[in-house]
Amino acid sequence: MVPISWYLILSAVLFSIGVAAFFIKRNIITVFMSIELMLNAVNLTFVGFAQQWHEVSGQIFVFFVMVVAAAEAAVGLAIIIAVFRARSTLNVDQIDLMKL
Amino acid sequence: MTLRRLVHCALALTVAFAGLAALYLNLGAEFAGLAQLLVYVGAIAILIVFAILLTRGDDTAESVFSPSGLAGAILAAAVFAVLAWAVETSGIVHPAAIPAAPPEPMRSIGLILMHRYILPLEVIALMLTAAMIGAVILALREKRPQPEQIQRSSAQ
Amino acid sequence: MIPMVNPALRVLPEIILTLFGILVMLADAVMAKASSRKPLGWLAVLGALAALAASLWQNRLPAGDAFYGVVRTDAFSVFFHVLIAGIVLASLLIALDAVSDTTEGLGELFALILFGAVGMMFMTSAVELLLVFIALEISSISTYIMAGFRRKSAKGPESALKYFLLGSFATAFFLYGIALVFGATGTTRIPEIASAIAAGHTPAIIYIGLAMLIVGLGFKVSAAPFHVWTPDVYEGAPSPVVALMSTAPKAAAFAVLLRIVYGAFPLLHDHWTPILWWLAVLSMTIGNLGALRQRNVKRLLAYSSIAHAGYLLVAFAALSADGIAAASFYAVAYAIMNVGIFAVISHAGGYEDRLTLIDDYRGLAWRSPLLGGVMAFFLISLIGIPFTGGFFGKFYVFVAALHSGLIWLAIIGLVNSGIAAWYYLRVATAIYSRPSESSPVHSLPRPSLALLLALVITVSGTLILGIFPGGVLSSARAAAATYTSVSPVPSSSGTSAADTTAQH
Repeated sequence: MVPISWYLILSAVLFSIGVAAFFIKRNIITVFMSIELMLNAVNLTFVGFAQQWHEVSGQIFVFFVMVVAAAEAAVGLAIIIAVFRARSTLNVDQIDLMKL
Repeated sequence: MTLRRLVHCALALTVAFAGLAALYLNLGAEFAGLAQLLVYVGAIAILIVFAILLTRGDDTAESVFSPSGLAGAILAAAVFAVLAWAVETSGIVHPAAIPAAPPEPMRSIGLILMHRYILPLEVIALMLTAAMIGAVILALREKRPQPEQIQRSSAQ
Repeated sequence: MIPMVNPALRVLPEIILTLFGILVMLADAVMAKASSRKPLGWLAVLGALAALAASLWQNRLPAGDAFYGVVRTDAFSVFFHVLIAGIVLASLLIALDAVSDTTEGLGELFALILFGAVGMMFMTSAVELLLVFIALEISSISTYIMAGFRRKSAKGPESALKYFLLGSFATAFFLYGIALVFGATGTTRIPEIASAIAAGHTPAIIYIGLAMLIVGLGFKVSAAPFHVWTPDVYEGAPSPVVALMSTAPKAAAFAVLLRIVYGAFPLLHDHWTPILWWLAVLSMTIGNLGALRQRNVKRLLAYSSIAHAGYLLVAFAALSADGIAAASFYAVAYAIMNVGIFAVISHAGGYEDRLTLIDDYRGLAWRSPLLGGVMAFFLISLIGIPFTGGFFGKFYVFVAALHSGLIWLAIIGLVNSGIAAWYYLRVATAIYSRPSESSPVHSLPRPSLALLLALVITVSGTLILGIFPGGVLSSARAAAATYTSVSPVPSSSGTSAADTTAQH
């Protein structure tokens, strides 16, 4: 069997990739996808720890995180579409009406 | 995440979701694995592809090796180093710790959901309602100006 | 043993708000398309009033848990419930004043305010991190949406987008923190985490988890260096919404932060007090220095809110029951005066923000002595001049810091208050100077009944806090006192404060 710490390391890798992509990527949809990746990393951690503690509540948490992620996806993509309609661009650098 | 084309990014993400689902199943978490398949691969990936479709024509050309890219990579490496160090030093290496799955995992999840976590379950329904209202409000209002705007944006 | 209480009573204010929110939505669907949606706003006001009454009534319940230890009502949760209900009430009144009959999506706006308030209330009463997370998401998602409500201006969606992206980023951090804490202790209930730590479950991941929880909440309360979204979001969102979201979700997030650091991690205070120390210093300094450069009033107030988050964190770092009481008191004082000043801005600028720059406010007092005077009054309170709520707020915070030996923190805070006076006075002098001939003069709308009610609530609240702070302070003390009983750990906040004092 694979030790649990490997899963945790994998989840740390995913989370770090998410964080990096959040800062590097310039397209809003990709930035949004990086957030989804971070949430998935969290889920993997929860499942891993749930097995370690023999606690079902870890899986319950995963379930709730998924529901929240779905809700966030709906709202987020609606916002993205609204922004695209108003500005016709999805580049983060060009969405800067409100700088000093 | 280094791919240039948006659609390729989305596809890669979907594959990652599916891979995670396989890992959950491997860990003995059938419920989470199946839910992952349904929610992420089934719903969220589709939503993302739809968003790309609705906003198409905006493939932002970008270089991965920009200064901000370097900063991001360093940051990610730092985050990863801290997390990996924490995991390694916390002594969570129990190769034998993975038990045979409890006899009826689905049943126990259902029971816990309806007992201990009944309130969060009710409350999350409220969240979904609010999110639904919001998504509708933000994306579907202003029916008349909408076609003009799309025309204008495609003309540009 | 605590007598049995019907669990529904422990979440009564939330139930009331939810029911009224659903009622507003249903009524909105039934009403004729062309008719004004303002009556729905009054319905929502009624709901907020009922929730306020229910929250006050909860004070008579014996403190205890409900729903299998997921929520807890005690003096602490009641204190913040009342505060949130009050803010929501005032914000609804402000919104009723600012909007016109033809504003789009009004019914949804009122419903979302109520739903968001449910989330904020649950944040303050939840003792299970799962519910904390869900409540945080309800409040966040409804504020993301409300930030983007003004879709005619391109700033609306942009503001929502920035809030959404950074907010979800913070949520991911918060969640990872929960996951690591769960991994270290095997539980997500706050009291059980505290006992697990007391039993010696402190692997390295728990420190990382705690740091990530603080980062996630730092975003939500807009503490520096996690503040970048604040000015943009405040500028792009409608003013009545800013009145709500600059106060209520922040108060709720501060309550969560208090619950987490004092309820779950009292034994690790050596690790989190330095983090909070630095957050406080950075927030105060960056907030005030940033505000000095602003010409836009809403951006200025955004930076001022960052600075005020810093003052509040000073009280956190004080690590004593007095510190918790001071933080709770400050949350009330800041909320009342900030909602008040946004009531004026919202009325003068309207839903579409006709007045934006400080220069636009030039001569406000000459055109409307009432509005100008009230705005100047709130500015004075934000500076922290005696006989206003802001004075006692700052006073208690700095006294708590001094008592805990955080002399440097108190000095930095006082210097910052001096800097802050400068930019608040700049706005105040603009209000009272003669209007220049060149600037275009917008006609001010007549103050409506809703606005007058909101102003009466906020002005009298600020005055009461400034002249008779005793009542609120004693409730804040009662709220703080719950922390000696919440944590099953013998070394509660009181004794740990003594430890830090001894160290200095």
